[in-house]
This record gives sequence, C-alpha cells and structure tokens, in this order.
Amino acid sequence: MAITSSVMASTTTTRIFLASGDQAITTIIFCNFDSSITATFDVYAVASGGVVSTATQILKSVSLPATETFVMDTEKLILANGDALWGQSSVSVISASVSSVGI
Amino acid sequence: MRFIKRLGLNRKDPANNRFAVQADDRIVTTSKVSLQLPSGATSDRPATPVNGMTRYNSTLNDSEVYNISGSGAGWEKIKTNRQTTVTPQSLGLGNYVNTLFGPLSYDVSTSKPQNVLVFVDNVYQIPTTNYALIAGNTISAVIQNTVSINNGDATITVNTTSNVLIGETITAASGFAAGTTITSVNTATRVIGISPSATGGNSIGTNLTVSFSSGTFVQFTGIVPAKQVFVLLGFDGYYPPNS
Repeated sequence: MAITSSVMASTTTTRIFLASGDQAITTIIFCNFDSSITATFDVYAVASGGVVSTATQILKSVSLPATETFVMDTEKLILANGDALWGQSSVSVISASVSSVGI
Repeated sequence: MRFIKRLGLNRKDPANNRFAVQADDRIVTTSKVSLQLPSGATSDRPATPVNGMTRYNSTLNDSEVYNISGSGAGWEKIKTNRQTTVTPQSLGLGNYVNTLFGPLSYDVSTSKPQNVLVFVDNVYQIPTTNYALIAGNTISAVIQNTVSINNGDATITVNTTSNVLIGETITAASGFAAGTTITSVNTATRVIGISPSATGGNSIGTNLTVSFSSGTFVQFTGIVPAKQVFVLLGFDGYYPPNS
C-alpha cells in the first residue's frame, strides 16, 4: 500500500506507476497545480513488455483547468508485475498521485 | 471519475457540459433550446431580493431583474427591442391660477424632465426653464374653508383653489374620514367636491391640508393660461409603467 507521485512531462510520456508484483490501483489523482494554465493529459495502461500507444490509452485529452483536480477512483486497475501506467500532459503542470495496494 | 471543483450533472461523463459549474465558477450549458427562468406573480418575488436576481413576472408578463444599486430602482423589466408607444396625456386646462398639473400616467424620474414633452396648447415647454417634474409625495398645501362645514357636506368652499387638484387627499384635525379625496374643483366658485362626505363639522377658517402621496406632476414655473395642457410620454422607453 503506497502512494506514487510524479509530474507528467509535456514532451514525452512519463511513467507514473510501475507495478512491483500484483498490485491494485485504488485511486489516481491528477492535479493541475498551476494557477492560470489549463492543460490536457493522456494516460496509458501498458502491460509488461508493451509500449505506449493508442492501443493502451485509457484517458485521452482530458482537459484540466488551472487549480482543478481530476480523480479516477471508480475504475480499479489490477496490475501484474512490470505493468505500468504512463502519462503525458500538454503542459507540465499536472501531477499524478497513484494509490496502490499489493494483492 | 470526477473533478473536484467542477460540478456537472452527468456523473457518468464528468467532462460533459450539458449543464455544469466550471472550476472557475462559470455556469455553462451546451443546450441549444432555452434557459427557463423561474416564473411567478409579483407577489411571489423573494422577500429579501439581492442585486442580479432574475425571474419572469407572470403578473406583468415580462422578465425582470433586481437592481437597487446605482440608478437602479429595484425590480426592473429587462428591456427588449420592442418599440415604445409614445402616448399623449391631457392634464386639463390652465386657469391663470394653477401651476401644478398631473399626475402623469406613470412615474418619471423627477431629475429627467426632458423625458416628458410638455405642451400648453401648441407651444412646447422647455424643461427646467418652463417646468419641472416633482414627486407627488412632496406636494402638500394648507387651505382654509370660507364657509362652515357640516357633517355630510359633499362640497366645501375654500379660500383658494390654487394648485388644488382632483385626486388629492384632504385632511383636517377632525371632520374627515381617512382617505377623503377631492373629486371636483370649481375655480370660479372655489368650491371643491369631496368623497366621502364630511363626517363632522368645522368652523370657518379651519386649516385643511391637501396632499398627494404618490405620482409624478408637472410643476410650471409660472401660471398657465386657459389653454390645454398635455404631455407626450414614452420617450424614456418605459411606457407602459416599468414595474
């Protein structure tokens, strides 16, 4: 059980979570910490050995106004060892906090 | 999925803008149909209105907004591009005595006499120079009866009919029911009619107060000759009455 936090880059995808063993994602919180910039972001759920692509995309161009927070807590993700979550934002002003639990 | 600050009606689609309150407090809707305002009678207005409240008044059949700040007057109709009807109103004949005429069909700001076009016969009167607008609740005069008044009298003879107008309320220390009004004025005989009739007697020389409590009046700066006085209303864009 842990929280993993990172800021998504704008020029490339950022790995925001890497499963170590079987893990369940309970909540992912995306926060636009800028006071004036609205940014969009994409998220990918990539199986171990896979690549970031449209085939692994789970969130597309979600618009996050300045100071707004987006919570992904309804949909649970079960990750096996080596599975990962990747993200990218249009401007590097969005943090991603992943709450996970080992199963 | 959900946003923390943004409030939308569709919980299955948190980015939906069918109706939502954005994080920056903007209220947005993508509806192409209409926004239906709260609708109710004048009596349904909120007891403690605040600036900006908007509703449809089913009594007046117009949308209205509450604005009491600045030049606002409270509940005001939301103006449309409907053409205003310019309406003539006769205020009666001059008599070389009266300088006060009215009331106007609807209240006009007394600071804007130019919004009412005033004519004596066919002569245009210059605002402020020839006349002013005054509020009825500022009109009050004291006259005296020159013939004793008896219980049940429907007419009174007074010392002057200068600026004594039909519709004024007449009061005295005693002898008149509350709300007694002047129903006729004969400037030649200085006899005025009242309704209801006197409820008690008053000796000659009793002070009688005549006054208006509402309305807007034309106050000329000089006496008016025996010519027709009329006004043209509606140039302010508020005819019929605003509220």
